[in-house]
Amino acid sequence: MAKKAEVESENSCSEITLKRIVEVEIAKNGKAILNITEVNKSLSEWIAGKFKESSCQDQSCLAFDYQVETKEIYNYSNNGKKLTFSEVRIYNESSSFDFKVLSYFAETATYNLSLVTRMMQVEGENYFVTAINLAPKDEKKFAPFADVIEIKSKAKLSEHYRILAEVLNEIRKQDETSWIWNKAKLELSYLSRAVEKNLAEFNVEGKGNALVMDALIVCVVSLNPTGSPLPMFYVTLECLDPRDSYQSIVWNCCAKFGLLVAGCALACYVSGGIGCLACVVLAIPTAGDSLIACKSGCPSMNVCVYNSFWDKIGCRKAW
Amino acid sequence: MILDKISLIFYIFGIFFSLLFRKKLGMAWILIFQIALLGFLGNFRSNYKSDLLLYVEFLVGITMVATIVYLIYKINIKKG
Repeated sequence: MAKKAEVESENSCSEITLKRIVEVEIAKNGKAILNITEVNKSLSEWIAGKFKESSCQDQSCLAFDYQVETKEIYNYSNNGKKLTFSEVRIYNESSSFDFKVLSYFAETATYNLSLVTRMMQVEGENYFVTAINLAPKDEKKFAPFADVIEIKSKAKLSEHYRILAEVLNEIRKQDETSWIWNKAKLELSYLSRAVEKNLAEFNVEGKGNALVMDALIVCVVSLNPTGSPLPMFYVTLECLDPRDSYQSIVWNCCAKFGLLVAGCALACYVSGGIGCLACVVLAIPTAGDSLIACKSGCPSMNVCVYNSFWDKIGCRKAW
Repeated sequence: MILDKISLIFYIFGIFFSLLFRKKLGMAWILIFQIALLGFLGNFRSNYKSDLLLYVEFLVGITMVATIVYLIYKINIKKG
């Protein structure tokens, strides 16, 4: 029986599954009314489907020349928690677009949580778009699932987080997502209080939606080819099926390669000929071993590209 | 267990050499030596799954970072 469960778990871990879409209405008494639609299909397929519905199918509308200006309004960090609030202005000769970004990162002994909310104003109405990613450090707690939450009623930003916490608490019951969404709920409750207390000026009313997911981000590389203040792209390695400890996967899949490349580049620069050759000869089998260890620690890995506001552009399976 | 001790000796030697050779070329060779040690430890860890070995690899990695930073610092001083 235990063996069967293990096999099922292996099969289900190959990709992130979008479990549900939850629509939330707030009743007059303040209670959240949930309308849950079970989806249970691949998240990447669902996102691709969403793009097909839009007028920007090939994403060519996203490619235009623009300048980015960011201004940090609030910054707080304490005890592994970091909260920043910034104003972002994207502009070119003909148009400009302003919005605010709240980012929150929490690192604890058992998990890392990252949350980014974009606050946009469309036709006089505020919209909050939140992406939450919780990565447990213990691979046994890892559950490759995502949920989309749409809050139909208007709510203040602090309430937006409180409602998300409440919804996660509700949907996690009797579910594989119980542990991860419980942790996300606690962080959201903390964030709700922090916004109320420290960002009262920006605690405005708006509608919102959120994508809450659980993937183990192993490596983040920021690409900034134009030299703009904000990196243009982030490339991440995301493990969908961790079988080894978090430290071991990060070390084998990411840190060791960085050290080998930096070490050999520098050794070649300083020592030239023989030193460079010795370094390359030593580094190639080391990198090969590291890749084998990486693949055994994480048999299913995605390479994802995000834009500067952490919107996912796309993912491709590395192996 | 003997190999465990050998890797530790290699590691101590690495620190010793990095203190001994102050010149850039010596440091570059220490870097190459550290890469060799990393390869050796990685290969060893794939046979004997041990958390301790992972931490030893981390330590070698930290000394590598220190060597890289030191070398970049030296190169920049010469350029400046």
